[in-house]
Amino acid sequence: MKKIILLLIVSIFIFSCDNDDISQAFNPKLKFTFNWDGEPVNLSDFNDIKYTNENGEQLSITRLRYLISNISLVNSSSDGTLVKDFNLVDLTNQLGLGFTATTLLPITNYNAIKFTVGFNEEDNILEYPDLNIVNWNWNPNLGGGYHIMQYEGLFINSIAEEKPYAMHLGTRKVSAGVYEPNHFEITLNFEENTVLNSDSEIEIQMNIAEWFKNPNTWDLNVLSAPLMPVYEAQVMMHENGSTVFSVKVN
Amino acid sequence: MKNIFYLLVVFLVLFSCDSDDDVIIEPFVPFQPTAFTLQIPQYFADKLPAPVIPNDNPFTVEGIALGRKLFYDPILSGDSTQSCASCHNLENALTDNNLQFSIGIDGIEGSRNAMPIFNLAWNIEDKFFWDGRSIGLEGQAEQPVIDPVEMHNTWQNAVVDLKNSTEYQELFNKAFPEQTDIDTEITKELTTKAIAQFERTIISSNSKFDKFVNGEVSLTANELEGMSIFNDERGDCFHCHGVGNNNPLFTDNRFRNNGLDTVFSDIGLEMVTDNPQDKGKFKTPSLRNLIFTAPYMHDGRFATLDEVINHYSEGVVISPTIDSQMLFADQGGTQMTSIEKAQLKAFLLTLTDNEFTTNPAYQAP
Ligand code: HEC
Ligand code: HEC
Repeated sequence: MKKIILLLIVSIFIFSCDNDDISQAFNPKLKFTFNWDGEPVNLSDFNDIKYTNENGEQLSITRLRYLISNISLVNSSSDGTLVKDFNLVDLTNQLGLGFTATTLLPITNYNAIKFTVGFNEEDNILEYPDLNIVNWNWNPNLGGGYHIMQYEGLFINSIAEEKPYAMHLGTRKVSAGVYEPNHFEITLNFEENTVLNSDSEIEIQMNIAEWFKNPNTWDLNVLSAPLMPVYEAQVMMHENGSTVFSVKVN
Repeated sequence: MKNIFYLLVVFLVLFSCDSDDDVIIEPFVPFQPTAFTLQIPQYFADKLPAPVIPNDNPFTVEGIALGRKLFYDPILSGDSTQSCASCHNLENALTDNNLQFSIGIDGIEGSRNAMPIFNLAWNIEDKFFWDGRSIGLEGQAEQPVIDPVEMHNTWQNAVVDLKNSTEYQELFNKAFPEQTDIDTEITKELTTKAIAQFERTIISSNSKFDKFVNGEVSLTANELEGMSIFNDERGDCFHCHGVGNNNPLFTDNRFRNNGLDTVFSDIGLEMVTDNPQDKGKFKTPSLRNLIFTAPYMHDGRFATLDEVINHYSEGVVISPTIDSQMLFADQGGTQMTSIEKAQLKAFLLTLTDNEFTTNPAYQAP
């Protein structure tokens, strides 16, 4: 009798183990989308002067790619389990617009997703062959490392001319040889009681219009291009970046 | 009697066994081509992803040797007068002898400038020609043979000529051996595979700039300043041609309109994608070995590097598909001073790789 009970316990244990390992775990699935104050923006919307920013300038989008790193999920037992090291989201070339992570995570409640926009200082000095070969590097004389964002287009200026703008975000140059990092941390909270499993798709949304809004109302007549070496522009973009992202779980 | 019968049976069995043995006494051993590992320069290995080598066309010593022979052999052309190397001369970094347009076997001129062949194994886009119309180097190698203004042949014809050569039959047998004791069937596919293997081995990585990155030599003050101009808004070249310290290819192999024209006689990438947004876009070329590859651009319109630099400084014109990384297009270019132009040129010339253009491994076999 004792043996049978033991066997029963062992088999229950094995069964539950199995359950934990396979059906209770999932590979997080992410998707990256773009919108202009809620209107979806896709590649087919490029090259058309049809958006108006907060300051009133009409503009088009001609290129848009950005990098996030240390993408992690937060729940009550972990304030960040790594999902992926980095992802270059490239709307122009339709690359990195979604992925299923190789990390297996428990199916349970999650509170938030967090990531670094760009690379943090430690990571920005490393070598990324996949980014080098797509010219993602930042000018070495401006501190080097990698771009955080390349967002470009045309706008109509105050005297009705078409002019280029290029919101390139990266390390700030204070003076020769003196640089400040420009990455920032984003935490996006899920709705309460969000359980993630293999059917869930975490959609990271970028509202492009926000780059021109909060807290700085951006005047393209004053700051359009080149912005890479302009310290003040780098600070303002950094500040405005805090409100461009939102999350939705599908 | 029974015993004798038994003996007979045993004998028969033995005999038949024997005759079986006879057949397998000399089994056919298929030829084993020699595996080849590409020697990747350390700096390329550190900075770049692995080269693109298709699973169905791995390197072999015999395959590369065959490809090299084919590359230099006029046998592939319609009248056996022109080889790939006729238009891709190693001394010119595998471009066409400083000609604006190449001339095919019928004396007819093409309409594009011949492209250099080096570091193509790292073209992760895997699209070839100025307009990207061929996928993979294997796919690319099919085209010149049948192009009416180039080698003007048919593949049927080319394959017959190769089959009639006992030497080529032997080389194909070695490069692409059969598992049984028969000759390899020479085909277009195997011919282009061999050529592609050879092309993938062609690497240029020993310029002064490379030696500078490796800490072996230093650059002059002018060359260093030229590098800064390349990477900042005075020249603004790096968004498209890369920061050399990080991307030794000096291109990302993507397609762009760099402000050469307002009206396009050659629509470039649009011809392939049928998308008007791609009008006038051409493959961004590497900037290595420019000293050997004049004239410049897809149509060889600029005879000198000075003309190229003047284009980027003052000559840029706007059209709907111009790349938004031609940041200063609305003022005609980046407006470099003559000193800046000279410094930029000095930097570009540090990308000259004489060891490459004289490398015996790439010369005619
Ligand atoms: C008559 C001159 C001529 C001959 C012969 C010729 N080529 Fe070319 N090659 C060209 C020209 C011109 C281009 C660019 C054409 C274009 O973009 O439409 C080119 C482009 C290429 C490219 C594309 C490189 C890149 O970066 O995309 C490769 C590879 C190449 N040739 C290999 C070969 C091979 C292999 C052969 C022999 C089978 C060959 N060529 C024969 C003139 C020639
Ligand atoms: C917007 C992207 C872009 C920028 C910026 C750019 N280039 Fe180019 N470059 C190209 C493209 C695309 C081509 C090929 C265009 C064609 O042939 O139609 C090219 C061609 C060239 C060529 C001709 C090479 C050959 O083999 O024919 C040289 C040289 C060159 N660029 C140098 C430079 C320099 C120097 C700068 C900076 C002053 C620069 N480029 C800036 C995209 C760019």
